[in-house]
Amino acid sequence: MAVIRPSAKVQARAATGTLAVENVVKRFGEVTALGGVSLEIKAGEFFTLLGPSGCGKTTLLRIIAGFELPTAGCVRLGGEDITAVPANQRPVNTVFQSYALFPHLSVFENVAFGLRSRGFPQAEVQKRVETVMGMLQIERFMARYPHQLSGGQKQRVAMARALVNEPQVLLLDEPMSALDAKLRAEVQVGLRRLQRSLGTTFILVTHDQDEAMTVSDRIAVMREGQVIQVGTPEEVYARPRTCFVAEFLGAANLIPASRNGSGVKTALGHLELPAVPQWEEGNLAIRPERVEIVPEPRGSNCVQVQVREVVYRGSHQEAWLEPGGLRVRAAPYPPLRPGEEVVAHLPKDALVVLDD
Amino acid sequence: MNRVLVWYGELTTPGALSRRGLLFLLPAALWLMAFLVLPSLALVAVAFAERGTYGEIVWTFSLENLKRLLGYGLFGWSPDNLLILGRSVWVAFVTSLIAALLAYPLAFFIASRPPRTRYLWLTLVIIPFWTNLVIRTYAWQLLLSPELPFARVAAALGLAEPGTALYPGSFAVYVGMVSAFLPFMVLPLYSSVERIDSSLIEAAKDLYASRARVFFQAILPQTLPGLTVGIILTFIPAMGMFVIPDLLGGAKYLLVGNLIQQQFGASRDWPFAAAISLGLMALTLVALRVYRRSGKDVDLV
Repeated sequence: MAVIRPSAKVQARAATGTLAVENVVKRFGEVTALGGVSLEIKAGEFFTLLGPSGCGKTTLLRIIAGFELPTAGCVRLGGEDITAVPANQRPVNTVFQSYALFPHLSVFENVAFGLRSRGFPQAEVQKRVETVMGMLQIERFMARYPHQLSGGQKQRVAMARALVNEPQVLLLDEPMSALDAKLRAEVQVGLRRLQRSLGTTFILVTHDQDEAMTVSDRIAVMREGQVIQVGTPEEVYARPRTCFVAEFLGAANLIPASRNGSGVKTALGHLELPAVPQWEEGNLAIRPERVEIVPEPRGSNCVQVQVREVVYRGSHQEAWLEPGGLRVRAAPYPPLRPGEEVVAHLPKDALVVLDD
Repeated sequence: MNRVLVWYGELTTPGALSRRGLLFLLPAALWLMAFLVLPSLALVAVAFAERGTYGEIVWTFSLENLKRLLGYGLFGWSPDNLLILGRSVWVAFVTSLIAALLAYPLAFFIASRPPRTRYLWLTLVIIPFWTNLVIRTYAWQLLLSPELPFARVAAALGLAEPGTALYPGSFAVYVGMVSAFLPFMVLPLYSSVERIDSSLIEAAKDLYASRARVFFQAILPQTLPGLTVGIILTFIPAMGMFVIPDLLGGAKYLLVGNLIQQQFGASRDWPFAAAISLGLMALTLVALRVYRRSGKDVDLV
């Protein structure tokens, strides 16, 4: 991807304010899109709003951009309340899902749009547009029109059009959903590098957990207008707080359990836990790659199981074990065979006690 | 040579294909011939003929009618006919402009209604078509009469003599014209506005655009197809309109449509009327050409 040479100006500006969302509620008639969301996004952070469609993540982004007014609550940037500041006066720019490039303007004029709106002199416009286009490697499309560009090129033009304004916060509304899988992976890495070198706060909206894990410093998992959990990709993946988070990010085995002394009783028998759960009955989670197949029982949390089904995936094999329908992801050798009796070890520190 | 080809799964030859194509074209071609080409040719022919003593057409070739149209009459040159032509273009232009200015807010208003009530509003736009244009124009005479609020308000503001009607005159003509043509502007514009991609409007706002810049860069380019159709549907009939200027403009505001009507009717001078019609047609084509050319690369703020 692009080798990025940010201007001194861009770096100097990196230390601007925190974006705070405080108790934001948004209702559309009877429907509550956001039911009291609070977030604090530090300057220079790559923050992702992750959730299934209809969870309110795009609504939240639109409130931050200034396209929607919240029903209640406020948005602060660097301590200043910007809730009622119109979109065209916010130091915030957006990369739209559809890119929303102006079809009647050339790539150059599209990128120059924001600068021209603010009445920058021609020489300054020329200089800034060329710099940002060089950064994103789109100089050679300068004279083309949006309909002459591929999806990936459009995406870069949309990025350039937003970044040329040197926003304090860049909002990205599923900017990669229109790209094919291979290009998307490439763009994700490029996006992360770009954000690192610019030091601008990026807020990404996506429903793709891989994308969120690849690019983010922190992730907010959303569901039905609520933020369920906020944390680094590691925290959210390894320490999910609810069944929803555990299942939404990657694959997870959910094990219903009831408290039994210091451990819990489950369909797999008695399991020891790293911490005593708060509930009498609830759920545990364990990632398939954390389940170990061992030659013979050793210590606690070992279960005698039977292999029901095996899928060979090249880099690993996936197997479903009975009882409990436990899913396991193991090294491809030695191969497991359906019907085989094996011992599964569920390491104590790999078991996560969920809140629900 | 008998080349064979497959056309949408059918085995055929180029000759058979073109014969079939011509057959399909025939009804349309005949229709155009009978109702457009032949009458137009007749009009051109009559325009170069002469008027007989009793209003009959005398088939001798003459350029007299065209000369008269350009103002060379029995008593030397007078600008009257050219003035009327020029005024017609002007009235059509102003009518289109006002209709467009009124149609934008209306189209946006209708497009922003919930889908169920949207059709109600569209019906309200179309309802005037249920009444004949002549009756609607007479209705304006009543509405603009001295006792009714319009005239009273105008008199109170000092815009008109107290106790007089607001017609005949240019104001009444514009009122009549705009109200008659507004639906022709609103409907095509609405179809464009309904399909507008609002993310472009948001993008413009996001990029610090003022209200004017949002309109000219994000809204106008997207609604240009509808606006173009609306302007053509308004401008061309407005150029030839004669009912409205006749009833609301009186002798004070003669348009080319009235002139043609007079010549075909009361004056019984068909050759001159045909010449004026040709002039009007030429003007319309020129106007369309100018519009198309400037519309291709509309210069925007």
